[in-house]
Amino acid sequence: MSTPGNDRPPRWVRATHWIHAASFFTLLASGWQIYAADPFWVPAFPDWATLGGSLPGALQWHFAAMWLFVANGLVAVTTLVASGRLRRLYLSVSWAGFQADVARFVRHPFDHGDGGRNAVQKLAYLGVLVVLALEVASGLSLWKPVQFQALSALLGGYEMTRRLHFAGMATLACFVVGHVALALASPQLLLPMLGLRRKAREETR
Amino acid sequence: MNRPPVDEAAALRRLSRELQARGLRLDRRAWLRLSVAGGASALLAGCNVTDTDGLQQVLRRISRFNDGAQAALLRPGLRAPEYSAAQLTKPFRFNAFYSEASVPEVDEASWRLEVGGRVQHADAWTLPQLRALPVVTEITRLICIEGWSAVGQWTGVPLSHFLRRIGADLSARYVAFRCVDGYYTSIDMESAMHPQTLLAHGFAGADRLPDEFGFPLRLRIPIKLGFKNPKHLVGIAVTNEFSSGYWEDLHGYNWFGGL
Repeated sequence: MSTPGNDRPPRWVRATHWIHAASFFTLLASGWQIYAADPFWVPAFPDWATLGGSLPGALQWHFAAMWLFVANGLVAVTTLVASGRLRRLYLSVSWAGFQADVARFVRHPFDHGDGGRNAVQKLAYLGVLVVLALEVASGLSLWKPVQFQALSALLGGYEMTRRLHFAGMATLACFVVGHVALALASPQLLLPMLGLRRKAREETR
Repeated sequence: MNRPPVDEAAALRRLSRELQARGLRLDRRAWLRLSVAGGASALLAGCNVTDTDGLQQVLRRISRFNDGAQAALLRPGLRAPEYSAAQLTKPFRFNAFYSEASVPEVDEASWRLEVGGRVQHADAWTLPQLRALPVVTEITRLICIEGWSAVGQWTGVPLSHFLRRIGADLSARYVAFRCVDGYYTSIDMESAMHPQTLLAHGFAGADRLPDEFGFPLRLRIPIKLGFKNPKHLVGIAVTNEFSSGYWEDLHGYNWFGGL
């Protein structure tokens, strides 16, 4: 990466990112509709934010999108590991670097330095990978609490797993709010992910 | 969804101007991508997309695919977890497609369970005859498609025993159930033969089902969702013809409903 700000992420990163985004929002909106059938923590989510119209339609969406979500996730994680991208960009965190980057982030939240990922970002993305894995595991055990009863027991049983699945959703939704806000505030990062090349002023000058 | 596309185009033009001001330029391919992304988000925003016929068909086809996936995942010998008496949910939760006030009251003397389809003995059974068959008692979790669950204790004859007793063709694909209230559903033969699948006539230690939980006879199948546990049974048929079920036909619930 000679000029990090101008380079687009590899094609497979862009493809898996946007397939993930589409299937994630489908699962989120249909999940909010499914939740309305038997709410436990918050009363319900606003209609405009839900998908499926009612429980049966929402279940159809949820159990259709899960295949795309999991298949795409497997491709993404496999490629992340095999290409060395995970190790190079995300697993390279040091405690000193973390402290320095937290301090810098607090002072200048939108300063991206040389365009590489700082320690806070690395940990955030690694954390999200872990929550995503938990969300898939809890979802699998809610879908098949008898066939995957060992997993269900590990997660604290059926009723506990419902709450874990909700908590994972809430965590991911909060991450997405921050992620989208930062992306919109930093077009130099958003546009390459959309596959667009930035016409950098430095080049034309 | 039916908004004129003009607003969207205007918004994109504004965005483009703004981006240009920041030193960015959108080419034609970029425009196309942004339009597709915008169209997709407009499509998904809050409206009842499932009403669209084409989408509905795709979703139903995936649901049928999920039937097959669940049949493949089903391990016939694997028992659903069982619980202790201390873990029973009290009071047990009522659920039906009508309110508790409309629960049918069945006259035991005139009630019969009609058996038909691919069986050698197509008889009608009385409740005392069914009670005379060997019974199993199990405490299992009933999980509703709405998400809630409740632990209950059911007593009844294993459906596998009953199917053998009536000389059912065990190579048939489905067992279909009819109920006194017009409800109906069907299950795959493999799930019907599961050791915990019962024709239940007792609940919570009593040798009688309460009216609201399906008197005089119900299917209790802990490896499937609650709506695959029909109450107030009046008919059982062994068949190779797919006959779906009440909620499946009415609203598109997934047929297999496995757990």
